[in-house]
Amino acid sequence: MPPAIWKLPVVVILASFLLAGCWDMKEINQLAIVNLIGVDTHKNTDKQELYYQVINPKGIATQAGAPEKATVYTYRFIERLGDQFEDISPDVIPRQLFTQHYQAIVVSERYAKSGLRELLNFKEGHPERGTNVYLLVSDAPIDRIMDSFIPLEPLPGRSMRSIIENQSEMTGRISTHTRMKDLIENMETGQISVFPIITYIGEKSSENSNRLEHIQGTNGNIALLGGALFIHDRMVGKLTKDEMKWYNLLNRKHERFLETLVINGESVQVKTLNTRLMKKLELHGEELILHIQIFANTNLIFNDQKVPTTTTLFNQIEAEFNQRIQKESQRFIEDSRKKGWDVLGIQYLLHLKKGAQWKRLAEDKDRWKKVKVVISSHNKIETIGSLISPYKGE
Amino acid sequence: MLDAVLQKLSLSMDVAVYPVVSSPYKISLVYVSSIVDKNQLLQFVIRPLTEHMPCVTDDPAESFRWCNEYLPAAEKQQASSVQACVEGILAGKCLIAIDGLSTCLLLDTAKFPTRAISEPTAETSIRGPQEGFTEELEINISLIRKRLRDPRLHFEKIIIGHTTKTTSSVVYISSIAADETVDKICSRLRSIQTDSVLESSYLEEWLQETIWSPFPTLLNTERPDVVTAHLLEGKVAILTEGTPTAILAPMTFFQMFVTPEDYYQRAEFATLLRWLRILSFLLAVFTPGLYISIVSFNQELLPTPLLISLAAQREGVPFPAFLEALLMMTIFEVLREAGLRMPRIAGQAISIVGALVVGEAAVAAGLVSTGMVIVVSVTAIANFVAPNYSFGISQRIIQFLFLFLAGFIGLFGLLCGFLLLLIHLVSLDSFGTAYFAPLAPTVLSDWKDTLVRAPKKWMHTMPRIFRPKRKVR
Amino acid sequence: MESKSITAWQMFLLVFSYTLGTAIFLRPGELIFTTKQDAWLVPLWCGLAGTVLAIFWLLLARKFHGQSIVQICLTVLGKKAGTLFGLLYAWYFIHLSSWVVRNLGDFMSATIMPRTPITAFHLLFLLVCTYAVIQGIRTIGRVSEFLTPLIFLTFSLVWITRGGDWNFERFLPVFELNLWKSIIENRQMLAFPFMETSAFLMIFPLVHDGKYVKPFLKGVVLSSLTLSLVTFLTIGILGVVRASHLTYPLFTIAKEIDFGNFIQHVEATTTMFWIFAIFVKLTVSFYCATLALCQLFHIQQRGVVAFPLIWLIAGIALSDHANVVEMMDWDHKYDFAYQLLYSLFIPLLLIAVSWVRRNHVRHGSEESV
Repeated sequence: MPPAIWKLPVVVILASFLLAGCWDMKEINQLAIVNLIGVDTHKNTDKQELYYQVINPKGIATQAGAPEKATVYTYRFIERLGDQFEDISPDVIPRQLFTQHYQAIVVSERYAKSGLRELLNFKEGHPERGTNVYLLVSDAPIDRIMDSFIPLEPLPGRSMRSIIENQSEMTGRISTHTRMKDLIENMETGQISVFPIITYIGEKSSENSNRLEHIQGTNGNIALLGGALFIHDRMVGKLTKDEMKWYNLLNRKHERFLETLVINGESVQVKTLNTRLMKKLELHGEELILHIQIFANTNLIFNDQKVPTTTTLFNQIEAEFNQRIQKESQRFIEDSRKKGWDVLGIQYLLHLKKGAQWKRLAEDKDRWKKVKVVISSHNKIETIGSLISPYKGE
Repeated sequence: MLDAVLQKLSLSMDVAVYPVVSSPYKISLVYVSSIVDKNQLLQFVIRPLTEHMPCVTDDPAESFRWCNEYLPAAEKQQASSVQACVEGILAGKCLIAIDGLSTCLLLDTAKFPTRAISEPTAETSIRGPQEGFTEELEINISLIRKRLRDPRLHFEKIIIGHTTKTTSSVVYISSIAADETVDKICSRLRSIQTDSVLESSYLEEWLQETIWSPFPTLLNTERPDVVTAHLLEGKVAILTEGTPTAILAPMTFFQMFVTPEDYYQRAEFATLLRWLRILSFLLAVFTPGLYISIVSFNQELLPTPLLISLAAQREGVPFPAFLEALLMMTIFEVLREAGLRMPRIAGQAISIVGALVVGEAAVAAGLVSTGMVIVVSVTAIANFVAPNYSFGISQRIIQFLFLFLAGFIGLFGLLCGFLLLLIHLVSLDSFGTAYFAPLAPTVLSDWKDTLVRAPKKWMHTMPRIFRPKRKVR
Repeated sequence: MESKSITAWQMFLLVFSYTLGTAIFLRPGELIFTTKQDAWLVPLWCGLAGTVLAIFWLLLARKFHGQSIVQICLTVLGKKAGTLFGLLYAWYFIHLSSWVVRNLGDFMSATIMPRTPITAFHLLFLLVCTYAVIQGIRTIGRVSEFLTPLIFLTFSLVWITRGGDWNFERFLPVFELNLWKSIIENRQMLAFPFMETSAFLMIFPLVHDGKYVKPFLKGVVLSSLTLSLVTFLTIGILGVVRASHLTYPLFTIAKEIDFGNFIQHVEATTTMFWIFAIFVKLTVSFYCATLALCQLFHIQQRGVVAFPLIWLIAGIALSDHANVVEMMDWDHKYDFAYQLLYSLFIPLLLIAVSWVRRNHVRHGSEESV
């Protein structure tokens, strides 16, 4: 017997506490992997309608053997949001809900208008759910969106995410800063957040996977419509797709900016890649002026001019682009000011300044309306595409 | 004297007693015929004795003196005790006993059967010498001597084992090797009390410092070039009679990733290959545990398409992931052992059957999922990358331990297992050198030959962790 | 008994990992809650105060060269009173260890494995630490030498990959805090983690060549800078709003790492690396507790003390506070005063008594002459 043999039973007893660890063991097949979540108010009660769209693994498996046709199944619950889904889902779903991988959350317009604070607390409160997902507002009735199979992308949640990310990369109309966590952060500071609005093209939902055999891709599909404007946690209005563009530009939230100009009667399309924006709030006496300077390097995408391409033309395009930016931005700011929306976050900027004077100004909740905005933009054309000069008709 | 010796020898069938001269006093030759060189015996012992010895004198002492002076032999020894005579005879020497004298003469005529020098079986290299040690100690010593023609190369002889009386030799270069290491090894070897030493691993078990450790603290090798290289860095080698495996001490953990090939190829390739081996070690040890903990506990770590694919694969599999992994790995160990013991002729069938049965049929029957087969195969193949066979066994023990920990308590268990392993490795000590040096304790100057293999132009200082007497090469 | 020793570099890494261990999880969130966007300044002055205390302890250790705090108690106060105060210190280290263990259990069960009872985490982790403690300080030093760069690397990777969410506006307006009020409000930051480094008074005699002054000071200073940096980064990446409401802001930062839609949700693996820091802290405090008891009662084998301590520490960890909120409450109200006893008052007492005794002896010897 070696010395210190008494250590062995102690170690064995201690190691037996390892067995308690398997309470957390979940087999993959016991999981219902959620891809998309939808929330709506339920008629006039204080309960919500919760939709969980669960992936059917065999429907999209890449293995041999005939896959089943249905890629997702939607489950609908009518409960108070505060109830744990562990309480409500086992009545119907034979597996544990696994929400760690969900891609997007869709809320109906009426629910957005009533305030999303409860939803945000619900999502951030437990580590199994997260707030790093895109929040979308739906224009159409939410059950139509949740109960439809869409072509090309077998998982609707992933398709919504791809739409947002592609848009932000290609046109700049939506920014990727449209996650729930962005709403949380802006909620308490009083800033405005904009989230995409989606709608459903079609009269009724495509509940049957036979829809996937039809060649029409646009019908029965989800499309992006514009933006929903949130103040604190409530939706207060909508922005059109164009207005979204300007909102993203003025708030440094995008990566690309696409604009069509009319020069000499023909259209020219330009795209900027990296836009630098500098905002400066200054006090001249009693007057507050916000200087916004935009620096952009543009790429010429489409040039349909009948005149030859020279540097004069380029100067013309650049000047026109600058003018367009200034004019449209001012128009956007004026329009939103009339509706009472502080789209530039001026009130928040007032809070960021130090000094008693600024504090006084920040106290006044409507001070932002009286701020004069001066926008100046500078850009330079960098690349011109494959055509140096466009083809002439005759 | 002769009778006492013969009695001690308990005449087995190969003990020969050859009376050379019968009168006036008897001169006898005693030898064991199976281990003497009969030609040498005839030419240089029997013939001179019978032909050239001058006429019989009356004085046995005179005959003894003549034998001592005129019989040619490489080694002549005089023995006065029965014990010494018996030991000499059993070592292949020929005893000349003169009636009436108590001292006998032992002439070296030994010839033991040996194997020719061939390729080392367990360590192959593409470039480099293809000589391996044999079972004969003298041949092994000569293989080292021919590479190291340094007068300070020292061979110390120690005989261990009451019954087997195995000779083992401690080899070191006295101007480089640290004195404490040499003393420690020699004193430990001399204090071994056992009846048999059949292989150098017996000595390993006696020499190593901790009893319970899956990791070897002594390096074993069959190649003389490896031994030479290590001797030049200040290490001590132990050669044992009867086995081609030599032991080297002290050793660190990172030596187990080193092959002699590292020094025969270019530095850049050697470095990349070394990283590959370290990666294989990590793969072999962590893959099953990581897979189980991710699949059973933390599924959010998987990217969504992979998660869906795995979920689809595992539909209908009857076992939980942990049991599946355990089952597959046990079957694989069985296959591996069977492949080793199988006679070479039937070996082909086993490998084909093993691949088919375990791989395809089990998946097709729905017993295991495809992902699991891939995990187990990757683990097994990564295991074989280890240059040192005993290290490969350590890896297998550890991977099972991690599998259990991960299966019970997920990533946290794996973490605790890793910490236990680290604490164990760090606390091991190999003859004064920390096992996990030069990583912990950190000796930065030795990193040039641990995780990377610096070009020889930059390796002009000796590794400090072995405390050699000489600081530069 | 303790013939093994650690090098100066290992000492520095030990101090660094020990001070950061659990503080890096728990402190930034609380600080941001109280001091909002200027929270990153708080660790700086706490570190300064901690350095002053550290110098004080170093002076004490230099006066009684080669003796741990328990041995100093025995030397200065005699057998009976010295054992009493030595036991006080042993209790202090046990209490520290139980806090650390409880923090670990809470963290694991709140974030990654919610359904496992926290005792499983406690016992398994304590078992690993016992193995390290039995192997001795040399092993502990080497383990921390290996692990600390890994921890540092993981941290850096997390911050670098999340740098895309950086927003300077989250810091404005700067320097708005009321200094004195903030010092009073955040005094528990001085207690945990800086006063807890008094545990190293047990380890000073074990450093090779007695070179413990520079590594200790460097460790305390650097860890306060690191805490400030971590708080700074948390404000920049998460923002005051979210960080002040979350229990573990660091965990949320790791949760939101997203590499090209492929590497997501790596919080479980990064957390594992951070638990290494907790491991070092627990091992050091556990070792100090074991060593204190062994030195008080002249026990040669650490295992005899370490194994029973597992149960004691696990039990205290469960019963000390019922939940995180209670713990934070106690922390705010009493932690500073409680730790002041061990880090300031008892050393002062020891110095005072030794000074009095020396004078007494001198007077006595003068009289006898």
